[in-house]
Amino acid sequence: MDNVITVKDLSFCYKSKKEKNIVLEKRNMIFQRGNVYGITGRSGAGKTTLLSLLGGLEKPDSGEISYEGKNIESIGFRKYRSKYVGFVFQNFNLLDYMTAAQNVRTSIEIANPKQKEDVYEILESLGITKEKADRNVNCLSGGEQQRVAIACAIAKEAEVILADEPTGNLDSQTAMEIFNVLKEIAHKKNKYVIVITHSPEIAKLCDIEMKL
Amino acid sequence: MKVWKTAWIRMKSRPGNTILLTGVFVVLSVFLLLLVGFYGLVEKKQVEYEKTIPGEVVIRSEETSYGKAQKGYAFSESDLLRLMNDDQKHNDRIQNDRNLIINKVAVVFGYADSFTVKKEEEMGVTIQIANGTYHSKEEIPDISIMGVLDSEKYNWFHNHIYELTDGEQITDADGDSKVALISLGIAQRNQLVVGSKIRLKVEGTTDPIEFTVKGIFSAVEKNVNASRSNHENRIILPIETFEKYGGTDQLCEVVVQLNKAANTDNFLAEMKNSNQDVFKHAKIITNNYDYVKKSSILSGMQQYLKITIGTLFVSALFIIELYLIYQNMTRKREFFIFLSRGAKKIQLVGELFVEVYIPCLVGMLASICLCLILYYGFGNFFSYQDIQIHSFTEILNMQNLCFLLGSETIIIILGNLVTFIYLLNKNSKW
Repeated sequence: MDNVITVKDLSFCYKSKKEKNIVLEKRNMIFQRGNVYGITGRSGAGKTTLLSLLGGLEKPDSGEISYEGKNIESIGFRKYRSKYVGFVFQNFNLLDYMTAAQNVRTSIEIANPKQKEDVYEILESLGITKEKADRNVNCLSGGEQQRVAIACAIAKEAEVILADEPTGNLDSQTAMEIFNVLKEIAHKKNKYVIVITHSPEIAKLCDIEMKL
Repeated sequence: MKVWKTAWIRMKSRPGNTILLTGVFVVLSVFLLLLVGFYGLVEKKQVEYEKTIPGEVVIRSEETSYGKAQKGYAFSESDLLRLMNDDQKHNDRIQNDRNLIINKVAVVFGYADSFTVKKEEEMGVTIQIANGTYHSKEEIPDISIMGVLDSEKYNWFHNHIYELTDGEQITDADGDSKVALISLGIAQRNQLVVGSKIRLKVEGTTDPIEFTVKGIFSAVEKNVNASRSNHENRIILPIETFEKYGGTDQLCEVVVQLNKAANTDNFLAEMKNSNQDVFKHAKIITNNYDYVKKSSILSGMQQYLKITIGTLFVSALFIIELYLIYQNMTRKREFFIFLSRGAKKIQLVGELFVEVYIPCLVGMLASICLCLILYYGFGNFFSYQDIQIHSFTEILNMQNLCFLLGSETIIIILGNLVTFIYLLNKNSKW
């Protein structure tokens, strides 16, 4: 099963002392390279949970997730995240004591310490100039921070970009810009791009919309 | 991920935190260095005392202290020297101690009816000894005649039970001369003064021997059963004279000076393991007051320093633990970012370790400089129980610096166990 991520009979629930909250129950999905998938649904439908499971941040209660034929649990969650996955979060999730360039460099070093990438070139391709790249991330705008987050994901040559409400904190124009960046990553670089969104406009622009 | 690089970037972004942590380590390091340095000095002084302060052991025959010096109850000097020479084969420390016999005591008795004390002009007058000392009318009153090497070192003079009221003490220099110390009671009852002549006839001899009174000592008169036990009825001769005219070389007490008081226990053990019953059953008294006093002060100080160093270690560990717990609680988001990017948990532990260790190393260097300033500023004023700092290397030496580095490293490693356990439990799937 090349070039697909498959989700088979995936179930997950959150357990507390008093109750058990079933979030996902026997879900089956297939994701293909080169497409932007938009996952929508009401709050509590399990969108973020699905993203966490796809990114190896959580272990499913039952079922399996396979990356190009390999169960991600057998790859190893940490190794899978390090090698194949890049996250883009709503609140950017950047290291606030580093510059943009340092954030991207750290991402590369975690994934592959021997990899030599020109971080400024990567940031430049996403519209972040060298001068801005050497600023602390808190000194950048929301859109710029999100571009840096995306740069962290693509710099380490992640194959799977998982974006949880990447445009949630951005104005509509910037949101479109960011979405276009993700779309370009999917189409031109042939990556898996899975986006969770509440925005109907963004959902419509995705190649495939999935409702939970 | 380059742990040290990430840690360094973070530390630069939080200068207040870094300075505070460095300050903690400066204080900790200064105190640790000084305490460990003092501990070393105290230990060194203890060793010096052990090597230099002599000790004294009093060996007293098992029978009553001033019992008749009969064979089986007393010992000769040659017996003692043989014991010490035999021990040389087993214990070089006794041989190398160059032990000295600094006092010898022997006792015999002279019976009153055979004992005549006369002043030259009053021949034939029987000595008047302390009144009321007869146990019964049948008892033959007698006196005890003692031989000593050095009367001043004899414990009753030493402990002021006897006080010399006139004349001079008997010393080694008297050799076998015919001089004597007499008690004040005998002197007063028989109108004797320093320079008076007395004639003594020791039990078992036939002819009395004339002695010159060299000194008079006061002693507490007490009512006892036997007259021989009364301090008032005592005459003291030089030991050589005693042995020469008394015809016995048996001793009932010997004071041995050990070159090192620290070897007293070894010496006593050898006595107890001796083949000679007289030593095996002898009463042993140690007179190591100087050594014991100084040594116990230093031992007390060592204990105090150990406790203080231990307390400091535990307090530092507690502070670092609190700091790291605070870090773990306030940096959850940062940890999540790293872990979501695929960092290993051990790398996060390593980053925290480096963040604490760099201030530790800087703190240590600063504390060395501070200790140097303290030494050059105040070192000359420090003095405690013969302990003085003569050179800064007594505090700032390789051993102490290694101890400092080692203990602070252990504190940081133990502190980081908190982070390790926290991350381990946080989400084991990661």
